[in-house]
Amino acid sequence: MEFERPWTEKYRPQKLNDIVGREHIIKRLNSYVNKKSMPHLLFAGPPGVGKTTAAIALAKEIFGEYWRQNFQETNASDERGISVVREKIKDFARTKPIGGDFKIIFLDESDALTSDAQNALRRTMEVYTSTCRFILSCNYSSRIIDPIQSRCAIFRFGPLSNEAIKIMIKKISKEENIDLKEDGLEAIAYVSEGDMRRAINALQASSGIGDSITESLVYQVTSRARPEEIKNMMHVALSGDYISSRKILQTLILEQGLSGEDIIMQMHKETFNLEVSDKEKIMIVDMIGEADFRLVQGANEFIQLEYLLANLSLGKR
Amino acid sequence: MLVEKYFPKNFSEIKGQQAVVKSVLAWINTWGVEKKALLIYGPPGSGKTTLVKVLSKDLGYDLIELNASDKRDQHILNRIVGNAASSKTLFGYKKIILLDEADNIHGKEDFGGSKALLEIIKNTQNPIILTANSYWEVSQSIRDNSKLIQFKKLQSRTIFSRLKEIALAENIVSDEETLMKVAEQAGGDMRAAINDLDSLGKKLVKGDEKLIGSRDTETSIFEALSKLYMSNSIDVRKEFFNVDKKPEELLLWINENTPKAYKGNDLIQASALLSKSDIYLKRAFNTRNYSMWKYASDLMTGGVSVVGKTDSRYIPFSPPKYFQILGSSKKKREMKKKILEKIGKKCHCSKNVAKSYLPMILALFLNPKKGALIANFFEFDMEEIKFIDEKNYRKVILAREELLKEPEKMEKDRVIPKSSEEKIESKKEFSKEKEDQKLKKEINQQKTLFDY
Repeated sequence: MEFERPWTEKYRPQKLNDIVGREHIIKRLNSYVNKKSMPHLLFAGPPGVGKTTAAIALAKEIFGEYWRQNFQETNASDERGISVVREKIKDFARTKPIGGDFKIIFLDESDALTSDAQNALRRTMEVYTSTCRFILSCNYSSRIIDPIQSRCAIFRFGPLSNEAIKIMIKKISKEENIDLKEDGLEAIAYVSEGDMRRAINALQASSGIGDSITESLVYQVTSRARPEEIKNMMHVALSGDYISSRKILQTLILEQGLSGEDIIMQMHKETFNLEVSDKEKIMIVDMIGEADFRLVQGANEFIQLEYLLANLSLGKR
Repeated sequence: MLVEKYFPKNFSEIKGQQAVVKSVLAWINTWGVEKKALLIYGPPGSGKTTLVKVLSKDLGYDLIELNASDKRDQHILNRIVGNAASSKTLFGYKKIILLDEADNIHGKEDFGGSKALLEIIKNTQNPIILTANSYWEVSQSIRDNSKLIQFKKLQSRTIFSRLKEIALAENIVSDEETLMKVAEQAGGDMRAAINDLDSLGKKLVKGDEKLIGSRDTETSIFEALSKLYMSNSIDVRKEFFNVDKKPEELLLWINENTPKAYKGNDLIQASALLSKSDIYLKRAFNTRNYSMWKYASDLMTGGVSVVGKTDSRYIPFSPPKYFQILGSSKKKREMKKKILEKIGKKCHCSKNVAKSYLPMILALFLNPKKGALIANFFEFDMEEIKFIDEKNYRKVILAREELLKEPEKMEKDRVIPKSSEEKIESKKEFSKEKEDQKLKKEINQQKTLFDY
């Protein structure tokens, strides 16, 4: 079947040296390639800054043609229970490496593992250390228990610079024969906030809609991504019309299938775009935080989110 | 027992439900024209089952009955009801199938029951009658396939006149006032009234009605709710003791209807109480310490009553939307999960991060060919494409078919079939082969992708 890949995959750097904007990290990783050996690694940083790319590229360079056999990728946020560590990871760690001295387990979003699972992981790391190395990636290294941190070499991936984003976007545009305008490039770099995945997706999305990538097109596309309904819902609530905002909430949850967690997250993001005073914004953040906490405790997202909307509508009164 | 002895023998003895009796009769006499199943709903003792029994007897039908005390899972429903529903009798006996208390088909015990029932209703050769106390507790799909008829609570006067008839026939001595009180106490439940009469012996004197142990008559949720909003008292909580709803469910009912009764500040205060109540429920659940339910109940009933008051005499109460749409929303969530899993797998990321691809995919869908190409990469099926973009999905699916057609045309030219039958067969084989080839090609492509 004919298909088109997302450009984040099509242009994912295959070699360490192809990765842009990560010179210091690449230098250290290259030394592992030269030695054909490495300790356990911990990659910390926000999404879209090259953690997975670096891990895959490292495996390819160390293992060459056998990289597929010696590299396993597991996502901890999708399978966060202790059973993942006990079964899936252990099973892989147990088997012998092919054509090399060790194999690599890449555990993405490992900060999503429960502390029980992390403790189990710590043991696994020790027991199989002769045949197996771990690369743990996480958004926040503070969520990784100390004993694991102390067993790893830590690499911090900050948000990518605008320059790095621009280099990549220009490269892709050239390959794809896209008419990329200067202001379009600036806009992509701006909306990406240092997240390469977001930048490339914005480029590909824009290319699906218009022939040449301009500033206005980029903003149009990225605002399409922004859930306008949530912003609208907040506006309606803030204007004091609790009943209408409640109806919007019901549509979001029941008809569009958004989770309470999604909505809270978006509401938090949108708070900073609201046309209210900064003082009020802080109050709203506090309310959202309380609702988030209640959502974790509370049984029903309807009731908690409705209460949040009620609070917002009260603010104006 | 008087209840059995004075069970109505024909239509004329059925009291106070003339209008509904007529519509049920009309339905059965023209069966096949309208919906094949009938759902009769109404409070206990209003005569639902009685009517069906009298009806089948009077009209000469065999009655096949399955009530809540029988296990009603998929298997049993298919075996007992399924057979009866699909077979026309040899000897001209007509059958009516009665599923009493259909609102109780659910849960683990009756696994698959309501799905099986739906199939049976769709294919039945004989009338099926379901009874229930409340229609919304019967699944939506069954409701959609049934004619709905509501039985109202019997009036005390109706019950009184029946009690009088029975008293006369049984030589029970009683003054009318006491009899009327017995009738009133039954709260619209004929069966309860006759049982009470039965328990009072042959001679009734004033005040005897007080001897009747108060029955846990289920207060309807609507009554309890209207008391909650109309009054302003913490004692309202007692009204809910007899409402047969679990606390979580009750919370949703109150949450759904509060905005219809309260406005402004009252509403917001009520909302705060409901939120707190919700938290108590969750705490009780988490700690398995269900004695904490009482705080939740107090806050959601008495609490909500105290913080507000309504002026409207009539509030259009409705069951929580949450239940109505939860089924379909669950399906949507599952679908979304599946889509995100597919993206995550192909793009080395979690479901959460995979969300960030959706806007891009959505934008590409505006251009059907690009949309089809990207959909092919993620191996989305038609349902998933539709889920992602309800507006443009048709174009995307068409474009996808176009992509498939191109190689097909070439093959058609190559094959010269002898007969029409062979034509179809060879076509099938070829498309299969073609798919295999494509698969191989895909695998090759992927390999090159990773091994650069």
